[in-house]
Amino acid sequence: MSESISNSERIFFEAIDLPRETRLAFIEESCGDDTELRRELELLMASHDQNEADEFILDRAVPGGTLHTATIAETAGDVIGRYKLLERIGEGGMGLVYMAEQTKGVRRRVALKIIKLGMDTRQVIARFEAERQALALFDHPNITRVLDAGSTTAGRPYFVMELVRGVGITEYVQGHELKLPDRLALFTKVCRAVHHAHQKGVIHRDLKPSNILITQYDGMPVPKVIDFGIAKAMDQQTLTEKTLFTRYASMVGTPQYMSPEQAEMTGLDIDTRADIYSLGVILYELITGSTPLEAKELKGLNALALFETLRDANIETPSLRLSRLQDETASQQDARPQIPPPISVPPARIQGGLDWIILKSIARDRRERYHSAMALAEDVERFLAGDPVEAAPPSKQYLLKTLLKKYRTAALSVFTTAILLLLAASACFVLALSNYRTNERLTQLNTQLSKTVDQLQKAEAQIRATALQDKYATAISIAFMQYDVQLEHIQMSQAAFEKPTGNQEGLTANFNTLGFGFNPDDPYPELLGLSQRKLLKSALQPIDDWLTDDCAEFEIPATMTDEDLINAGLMIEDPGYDEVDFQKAVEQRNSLAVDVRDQFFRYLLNQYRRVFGEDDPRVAEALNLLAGCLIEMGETDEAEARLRESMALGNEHNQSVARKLLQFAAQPKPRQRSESPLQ
Amino acid sequence: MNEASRDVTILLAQIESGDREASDRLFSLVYDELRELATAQMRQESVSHTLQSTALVHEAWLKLIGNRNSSDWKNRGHFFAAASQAMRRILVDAARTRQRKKRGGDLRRQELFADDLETQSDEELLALNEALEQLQQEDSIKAELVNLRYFGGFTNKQAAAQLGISTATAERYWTFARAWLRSRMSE
Repeated sequence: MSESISNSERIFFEAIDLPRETRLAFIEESCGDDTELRRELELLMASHDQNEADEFILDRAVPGGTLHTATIAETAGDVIGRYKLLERIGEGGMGLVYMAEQTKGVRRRVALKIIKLGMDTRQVIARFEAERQALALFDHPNITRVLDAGSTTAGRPYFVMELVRGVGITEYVQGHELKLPDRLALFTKVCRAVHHAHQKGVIHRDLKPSNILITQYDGMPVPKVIDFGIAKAMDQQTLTEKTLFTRYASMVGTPQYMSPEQAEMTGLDIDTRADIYSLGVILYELITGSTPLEAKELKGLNALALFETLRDANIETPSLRLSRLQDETASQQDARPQIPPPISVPPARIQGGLDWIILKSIARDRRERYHSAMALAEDVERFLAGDPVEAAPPSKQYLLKTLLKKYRTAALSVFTTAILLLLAASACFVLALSNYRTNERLTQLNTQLSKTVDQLQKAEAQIRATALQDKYATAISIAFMQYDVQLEHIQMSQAAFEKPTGNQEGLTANFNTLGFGFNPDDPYPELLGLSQRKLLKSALQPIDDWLTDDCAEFEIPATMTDEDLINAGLMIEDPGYDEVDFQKAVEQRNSLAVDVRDQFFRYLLNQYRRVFGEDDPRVAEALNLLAGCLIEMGETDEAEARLRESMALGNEHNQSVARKLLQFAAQPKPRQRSESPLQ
Repeated sequence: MNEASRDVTILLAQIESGDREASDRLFSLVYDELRELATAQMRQESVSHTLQSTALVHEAWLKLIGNRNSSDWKNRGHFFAAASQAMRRILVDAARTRQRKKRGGDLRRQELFADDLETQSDEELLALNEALEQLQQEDSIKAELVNLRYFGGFTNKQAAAQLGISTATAERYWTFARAWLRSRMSE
């Protein structure tokens, strides 16, 4: 390196790290009285600014590197074989498409695609003929058949297809502003068509939006997959010079949809899963309006770099991409007019389910993809129906959440069940902590928790099986059946604490499944040292999240904070718990429907009796609460009986509450739901 | 294995062992190959079609080396480095030919590219070529970096590996070289 350039380079880099307005002063200072150096740096700085501001020759593709060869040979009016060209209707990466009329045999209009890349026409046609039988077996409303192939007088191959008037699928869904479910429904049709072809042994190899045309029949969008058999015919088994070049060049066209194994160009081992990959990319684009790797990222890469990028690049999940694009669109209105606006769906809606479906489809390792296009379609349909998707990682929380969303009305009861189970489990756990602080005995809790998890799953299965969208009461009764079973388990496990065995890992796993969030590496003494509050908070957090979601669905104010839930949980365990907080928690309960509260307080009563004994003052509190509910429901007889039970047990406060309630119970009319007797 | 292919393999081994002359021989071999490929494409094609120089380079690689040694990045690097030089030469020659023709000095149809390329970018390319030659004198590693990235289609990472510098350094060199070349071209 010459000395002058190393000098100017040093100052150059120091200068560009400075704020723009101070750069010239810095240069002046650095150069001292070396005016030549100073002139040089000012020039470099100006050029650097220009480079930042506009395009320099080095930012473009090699200008002379694109070689334009001679002009198009065929025009409208020309006759090719049995076909007369009528008008040019499209131009793709591989060739030009004409509308043509068949002049011999059946008179019909067809689409005729003339391949423009240089390749060995004889081989192309031979390969097409080899696959022709399989293609002839296609009988699917969403696949456009390739009818014929031949060679033009200029020696280029052409393909004749059924004529489809339509636009590419991405253009269609954006132009018609299709909603998410409609987009997905359209997509599953495409998957089924591709599956049909796969069953006939034909791989498309070049699925992309421009090969999936949408036409309208009776106002309904109908997809037509075109070009089946063409990519294969144009591919080659033997790596000859011409075809290799062609392959590379055609690859340069739309690498975004190409699977990594295709980009690797070994070319010998492409199977149906390459199509699954392309379908996954298309689904990604249908939702976010962009492909996982955008064209600009892949532009100009050489083959090796392209393969490396497809293999190694980090893929943004669709929901993240969507939320980023939505933010961008919102913030810079017309800044990117060429990019269609992203679908207006909250990204959270595709998070989980649809994210997983897409990521599974575009897995780099094809063994991780769906085994068939049908399996992909079915998973998308599961998502549409609100069922858990197959692509999901095996997490019980996800399953529960999906079910909660699906069976909205029943969901609240699932929530109730879950609370009950968790309260029971935590009560049990806390009992275990206080009574038996040894490692071996703690692990006994594992048995019980395993069963809790089992019960949660069974409850979920039953709710799902009965599909009680509006049969709230039935759902609750199922929940309570589960609860009874659960109580038995608690009793059983309490007994089991006496017998030591050890299964720390299983215990931790079960806690984590229930949302306790333990670190399996924590030593058990620390685990034991977790405060009750923290334990309950972590246990109840997911439930509270669901509640917030589902309350919105039910139009119930989500007044129960996690603090309240914790209070509710703590009242069971802590004899000295502050009564004001207790009342507050109970009041929050009043935002739930009266029948839910009725069930809840019955649970509470049973639980208190079991945990604290028949004659504990807290049993009186529960009796009062239940009685309040009963009065609200008009069940004054039972209310009265409960209150008398309470009077016999309670401390002064409880007795005075009971007395007041008795007055309410004695009144002839049931009170309105909104006026709780406790308020 | 054909003759050219065997030669390339031997040459790559020689370059690896430090034989500087082998680089020149590799260059001329790759140059011939690229020209032949491009010309062949021209003859076969009667349709409008865009070829990318990086595609041509890749094609030459496949023809001369094929999939043998394809995992050997060093060989690949030497080859593509030679190919970027060759591509630059071809492009510059083509641009000069067109310029000459434009000035009316030679109305006979020249060889490859003569008719079809837009001449607008020719002046720019020739200016870049001159500036690059100048940079080669002053700071050869930066000039080589530009060759690899621009004419060879190398990514920054690949070019850095070929030149034996870090990617961060390569990125800095690139920033500087761009400013430097632009300042020389606008003079």
